[in-house]
Amino acid sequence: MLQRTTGAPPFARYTPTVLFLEEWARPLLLVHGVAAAVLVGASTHHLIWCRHYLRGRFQRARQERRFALVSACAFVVTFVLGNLLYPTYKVRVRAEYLDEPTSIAAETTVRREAAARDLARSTFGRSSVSPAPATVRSRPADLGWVGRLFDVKEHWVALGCGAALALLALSRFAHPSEDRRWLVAYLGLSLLVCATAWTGAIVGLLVSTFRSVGGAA
Amino acid sequence: MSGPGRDNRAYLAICGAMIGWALGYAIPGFAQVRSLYYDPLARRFLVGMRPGLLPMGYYGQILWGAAGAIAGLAIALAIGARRRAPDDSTIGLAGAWALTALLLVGAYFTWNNWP
Repeated sequence: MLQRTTGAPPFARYTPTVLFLEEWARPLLLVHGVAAAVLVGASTHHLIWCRHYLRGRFQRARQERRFALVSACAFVVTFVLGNLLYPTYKVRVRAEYLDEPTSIAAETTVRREAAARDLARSTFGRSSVSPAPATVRSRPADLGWVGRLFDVKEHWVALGCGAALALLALSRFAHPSEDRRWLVAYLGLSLLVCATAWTGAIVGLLVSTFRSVGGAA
Repeated sequence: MSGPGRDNRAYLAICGAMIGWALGYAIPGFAQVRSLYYDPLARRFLVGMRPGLLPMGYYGQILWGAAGAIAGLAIALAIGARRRAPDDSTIGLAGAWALTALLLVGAYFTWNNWP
């Protein structure tokens, strides 16, 4: 498992590509991340700019509307890209790794062996040194909770995407500068869009760290 | 209708769409209904009720949400066309229910999937 073919190009896939858009998963994930960064920035700006509305000051409504547009566009792009990546995540990450203890156990063993080799090399050949026991667990960790956390994030992001489109519609057709009674819904949606954007970004990054910086072993 | 009346109708329609989106999105998870699933290994779509662990119901759930949003929008527009300018309590309730529906559905899925 996880053996790369000898002589393969550096970005060759570890596994045969059989899933929808799997061969594009890495570039799609990069664009997904960039779009998410734009979304987090735009939605945070939008929420901050809306704070003046609580005091009845609407001088910056034009610029704030622009952030609503950028937020909605970025949310839709991020959401669509995430959905295109979802089959690859579901099989390669969720089913084959997070929900598969044997994969984690195999990786744990390989990483321990690599760590022992690295340690032996770093001590100039003194092979009597062994890894510190505190850094190695006796059995692989259960990563099912990571997959479930990702599910929670997916649901909030879907709701947030709808909220971003509703916020865009409100900013165009029922802006609180024209009627203060619409302000609560407007601010609430702005807060929800910002919170779901941040949640999606943080949980998405957290999930992607488990194979890169470890944590399973 | 033009001016503030039309804007109020737009506001109520958007709130109706939000409520419909949230409720429609929750239907496949809450009720035993047929939904669209995608089997990533077989690369095919299927319609059913929770056909297994691997087939993904997320796309179907989004479709349910979109259908709910359209229904909510249509209902709100129909109600708005019959009534005159809504009072303050109607405006407040529509906005509060739109936000509450989103939060309730989010809390429901958080509870069900909590690590």
